[in-house]
Amino acid sequence: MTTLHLLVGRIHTFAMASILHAHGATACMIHLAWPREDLDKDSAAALQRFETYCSEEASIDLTVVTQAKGIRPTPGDVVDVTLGATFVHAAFLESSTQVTVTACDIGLTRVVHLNAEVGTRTTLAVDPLSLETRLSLDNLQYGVNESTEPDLLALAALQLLLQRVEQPCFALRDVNGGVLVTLDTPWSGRTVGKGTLRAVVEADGSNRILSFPNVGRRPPTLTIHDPHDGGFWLEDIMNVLAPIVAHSYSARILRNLVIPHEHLDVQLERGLNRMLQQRPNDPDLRRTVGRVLGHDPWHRLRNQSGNAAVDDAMQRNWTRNIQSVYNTLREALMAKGGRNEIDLVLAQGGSLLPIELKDKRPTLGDVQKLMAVARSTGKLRPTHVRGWLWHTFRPDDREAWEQETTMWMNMYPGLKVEHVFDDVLPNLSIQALNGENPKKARWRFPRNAWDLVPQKLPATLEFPCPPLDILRQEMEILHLVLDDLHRENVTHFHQFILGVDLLSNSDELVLDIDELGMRKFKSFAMEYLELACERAMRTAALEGRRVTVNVALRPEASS
Amino acid sequence: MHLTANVGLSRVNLITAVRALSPSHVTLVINDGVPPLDPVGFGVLMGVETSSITMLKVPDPNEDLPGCVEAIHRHFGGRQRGESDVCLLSAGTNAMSTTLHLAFGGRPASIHRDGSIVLMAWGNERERRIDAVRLTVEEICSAHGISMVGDGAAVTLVFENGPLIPMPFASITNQAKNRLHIEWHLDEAEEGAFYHRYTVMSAIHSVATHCGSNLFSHLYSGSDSRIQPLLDASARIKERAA
Repeated sequence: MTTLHLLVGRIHTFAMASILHAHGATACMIHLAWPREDLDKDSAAALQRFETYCSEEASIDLTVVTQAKGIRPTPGDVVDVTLGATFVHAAFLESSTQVTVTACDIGLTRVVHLNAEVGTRTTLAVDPLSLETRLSLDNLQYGVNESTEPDLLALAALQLLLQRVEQPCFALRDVNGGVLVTLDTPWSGRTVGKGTLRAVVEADGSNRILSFPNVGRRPPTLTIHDPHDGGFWLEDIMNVLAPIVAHSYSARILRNLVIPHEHLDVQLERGLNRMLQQRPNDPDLRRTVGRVLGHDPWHRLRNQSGNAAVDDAMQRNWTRNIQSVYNTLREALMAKGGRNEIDLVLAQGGSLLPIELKDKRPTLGDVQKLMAVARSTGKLRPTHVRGWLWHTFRPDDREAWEQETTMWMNMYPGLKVEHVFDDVLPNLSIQALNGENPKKARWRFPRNAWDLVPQKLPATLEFPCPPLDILRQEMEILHLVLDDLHRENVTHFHQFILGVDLLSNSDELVLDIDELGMRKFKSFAMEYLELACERAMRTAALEGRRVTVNVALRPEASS
Repeated sequence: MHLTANVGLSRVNLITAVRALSPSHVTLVINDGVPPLDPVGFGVLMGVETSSITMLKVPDPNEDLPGCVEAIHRHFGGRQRGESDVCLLSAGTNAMSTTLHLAFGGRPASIHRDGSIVLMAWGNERERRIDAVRLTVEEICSAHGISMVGDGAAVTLVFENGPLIPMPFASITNQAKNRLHIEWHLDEAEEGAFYHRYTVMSAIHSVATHCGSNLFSHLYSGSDSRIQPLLDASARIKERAA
């Protein structure tokens, strides 16, 4: 049986598996540069995965040795030098007349014979290993985005949105019981009467699903995450763009690729802390965690210096229930808690091309992060590491910006910095999607104003056996207030509310609001807030208490 | 002695190896992915007559590996090597350096991390190390087609047929191991900080593009927090196609 010898400096499982696959090897000997016990934790785990893959999936007879032991190939064996180090090659090459020396091409799908005597220099290219094998071997986590068909009208809507990138997104005004959502863009001087129903917005948690019923046979929809001040995430635009990108590049799209942390518990804890820190404006998260935990998750971070007995009880409660939180939100926490994550990945075969999305000014730090991930997902050679940075940033000084991005691209060969709407969209092949002229489709898209009509109210919370009544009561009041704000169409103000405090003073209901929230409430919605609190207290039978609004620092997530 | 070597972006190792081994003939294999090399000027730096240098141009192995392998075998195939001939393995991709050794034969040599030339154990010969000579800054610049104008804290690097790189805040010295040590004197408080940062980025990328990143080490001791990431990034630049 012919044995394939691989000389390995660092453990790159997918490259190693690809080389075995290209050779069609049935027996392989890995020559490690260092003794196995000297491998770092990541490398040891990677080698373990590779061994599992060889034994369970590829049925390859694998032997792992340290090259210092000087084990030489037997005549007829194959030595592949794609991954190895030159010092070791030299020792192996002494017996090169008896072995076949090979290397793989850059795609790791074709074997090239390096010996002079070989008649045929190249073997036929094999299909690359599957994407699933790649993700499994490199222990990468991801969310697949393959459900949406490319939609020309959605693209038209997207191009409409692009014109508001420089502007505040939605301007919200009360109109006839609804809220008018205006697109603050110069639409060729045309205006349309206020209140005209053009689109319906369904509020679903922090997401808003915009549908356009009067457009064409197949009404397009856009799901827009509305984080603050009517803004939107570029990532959500990518929900629309992703299928078109996939169609255009004949690739699959992965969302939120995560390079995992080596310890599962650490990853889950990091994920929860990040979610609480980054998404305090997401009532769904607050409710979900609160329901499982039994109290407002922010409370623990906020109220460390309160009543010692309650703090202690809360801590015990946290310890007891945190695993349930992890289990409930496992997928989301795993996605958030990794060592590194990337927004979008273009997958062609086993090759992964990371794409970072920025709606603010991209920085060198973003580029460094992207290229660090690209080195993880890139196949083999640093010269061919590729990563794309897509952004919607409009610079004041275009020339300086172009110089800077050119410099980045020169510093990181393989980096491409492109504007989503100026550079990416025009180059996507959308013409063939459904035969319709895209220009025509764009023109018949509603262009002036949409009415927002909230149609789905948040579900009422249920509290399964709360461990601490007072915390449950706080949570209940908090959600009554949130529901009330939602009914008053000021749902987005909930993000400023840090929590309800019934513990500090038995005569008061203290509502903690951050500084920005206080300013916003004072300007726009203080009366709503006071009314909401009074109603909540009535419902919770706490009418005797006085409502006090307290400006509090937004808590940092614990490390 | 006949010495063969691949040519990469950084040429210092090659010069020190040739100076240390004093071969009578040198064959340099250069691929389409690296900047061209002037054999006359390079011969002077290596201390070898131009007539003793053979240049072999092959396809870029990252683009056309079979073509690259074929070209090397076609050139060297069937020739007998002397026992003292040496093949320097420390430049080019693994596949290219292995092919060169398979085609040419000879005793393999490489460059150790400490800069010394290592003649590897081969047949009955034991491993032998030779200390590398220290090159001057001017020699290193010349090897990469750079002229240096000015000194102290303001230099300008002029590339042959290429860019002119002002480095108004830098001084250049030759560190140990024949690496150029660039010290940046730039402070955040200075006016036009953006322009200065841009100048630094431009200079770093230009020199790395032309000479590879291993040739340079950068030092910055000022307080501009945005400079250090640039220098860190420069350390990550690897060989790239021209």
